[in-house]
Amino acid sequence: MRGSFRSSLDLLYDKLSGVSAGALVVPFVVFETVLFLGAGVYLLRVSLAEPTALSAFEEGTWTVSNYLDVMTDEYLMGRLSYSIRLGAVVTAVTVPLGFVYAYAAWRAEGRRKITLLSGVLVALLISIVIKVYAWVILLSPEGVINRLLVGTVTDSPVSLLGNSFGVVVGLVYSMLPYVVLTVYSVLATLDERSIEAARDLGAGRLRSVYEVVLPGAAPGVIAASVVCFSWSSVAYAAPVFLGSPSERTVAVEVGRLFTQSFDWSHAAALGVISMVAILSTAGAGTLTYTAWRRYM
Amino acid sequence: MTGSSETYSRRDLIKTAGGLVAGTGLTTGCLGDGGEDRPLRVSPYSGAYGEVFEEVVVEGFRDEYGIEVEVAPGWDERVTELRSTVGSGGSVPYDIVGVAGQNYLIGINEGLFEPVRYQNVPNADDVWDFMRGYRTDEYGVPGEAGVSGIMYDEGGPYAEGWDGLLSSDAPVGMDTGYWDVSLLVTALMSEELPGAEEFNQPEAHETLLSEFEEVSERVDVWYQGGAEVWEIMERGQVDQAVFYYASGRAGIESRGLDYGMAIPDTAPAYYTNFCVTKGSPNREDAERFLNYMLREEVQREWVSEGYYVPANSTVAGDYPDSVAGVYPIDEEGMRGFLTVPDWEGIEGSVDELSNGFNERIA
Repeated sequence: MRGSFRSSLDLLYDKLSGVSAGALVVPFVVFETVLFLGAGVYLLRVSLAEPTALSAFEEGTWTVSNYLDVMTDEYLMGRLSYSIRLGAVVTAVTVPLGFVYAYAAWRAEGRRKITLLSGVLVALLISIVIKVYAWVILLSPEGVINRLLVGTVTDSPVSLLGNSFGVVVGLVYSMLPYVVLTVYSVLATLDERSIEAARDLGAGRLRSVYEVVLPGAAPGVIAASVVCFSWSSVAYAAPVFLGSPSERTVAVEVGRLFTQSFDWSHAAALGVISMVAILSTAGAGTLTYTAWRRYM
Repeated sequence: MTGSSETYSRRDLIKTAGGLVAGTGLTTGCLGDGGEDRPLRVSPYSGAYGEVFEEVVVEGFRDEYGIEVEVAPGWDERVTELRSTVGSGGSVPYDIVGVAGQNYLIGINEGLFEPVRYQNVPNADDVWDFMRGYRTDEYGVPGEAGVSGIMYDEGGPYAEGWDGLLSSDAPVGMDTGYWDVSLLVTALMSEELPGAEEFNQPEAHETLLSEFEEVSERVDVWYQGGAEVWEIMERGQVDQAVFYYASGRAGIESRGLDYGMAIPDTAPAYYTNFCVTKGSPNREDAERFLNYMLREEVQREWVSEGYYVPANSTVAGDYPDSVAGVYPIDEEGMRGFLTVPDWEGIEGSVDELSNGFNERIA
């Protein structure tokens, strides 16, 4: 039995060895098409169905009024605007931090390298909800951070929870591993000797990073920025647990419309609008960065 | 297009892709619920409610009938979950689901429940008439009712009525999850119309939201869900909070806190209707369970342990000590005490109210 399994694996390996890289991607393209595009098309269809009271939506109907309703709703557009600003702030904080961390891990050797990389990998093994709740304990008025601050820096507890500060902290912590690993994967392809060459030519440490490492790592930085921005803009757990109603993102509102109001049509329309807005913002940011690098 | 040892044909690749997708389906199928032979699965509301429900109702039923029962507590998302599975040919996630108000009506409109065969649930004859008649009980038997009250710290000032909630010196917390409760409290505070008519009459919604704006400015913390109310009380962020009476009593006792619960003369309330989900493979056992749940002694123990308003009216004649003197004992008193939202009457304005509420607390 084991021999038969082994020979099957060998046969599969032989066959796959001759397949081009493009062809190997086909199964995953099919998988993504079924899971992502299928769900996306359904979402789009629901967003174009007429809403009904005390029901999900009116089957078989067509309307664009849900989009108009959402786009003219000051509250929902305010949440979308907040979500994009939140994503931008989190990205602006996380990507530089992640780059420094990834750079340190790339330049480190031996145990230090393993420790730095394990640090981010272990963080990924912990559920996002648990990580966010850990911050609730740390940031609360009676939490660890306030205990350190009261008596040394301030006389009374500082408000770190139930506001944008708490949400940004929770999201930066959640996003950091993804940014580090994305940037590191690109840094690992660079030739470290190019830094030495730049230093030999008179560049200082920072200048060698700016002139040599950053351009080389640009694809990783861009990818990490897009991931960080896209995920944090539509974050759910951190805004709910670490923020107040003022910090609700568009994802929280979509969830509310789906489960509490049971208004699937408007929820789906808001979802589609959010996706377009966030992808457009991320795309514009990427183009701007690429153009800036080219100009520089 | 013939495959060779060196390359894959397009057909081979499609087969591989198909196999991958089918394999994923099979793999996820292994994580499934065992199909038709699964135990009776009951879904009450989550939190302290679900714990008491399992301890009193489910365990008693298991012991008496020897039927295996799984408890899967949840919140509003269960209706969406059922909407996605009922009628799709898949296995329904629950056999019985306990849902209140708007969720119950949505479930009926969406065809998510089987009609209750009342000949199999004779104990329903003892349920309060107003609970059975307020909205149709064709698809779900009322199991209990819950009211909102004011949880307060014994050491500080607190309000005994809704009017005093905002005029007392103690900081106040209100719930964002069940937005209707906060709006019903506002309606009860208002003197424009009697009772909670500002909530139940669509033409009064503008006034209600305007009054709610003033209320929201006075609220110190908007908490999100039952777990958070304890955090904000224990941290001292608020000294009083609008909270469910039953959950409040249970939490105060289990945590050993010096808190109290006040219930004004009339209070925002909900009834939970327990429904058999459409397509349930355990319909007979489900109805047996509903009948057991409504039995007088089960209801009495449920009230005693969970502090809910019993659906079985015979319990009211001899309330357990834990709620004696708290709830009315007759139909008329109960009607005046419980303020239940008229979801059917405002069905065209629910979004307006929900969005208006969220806009004002943001």
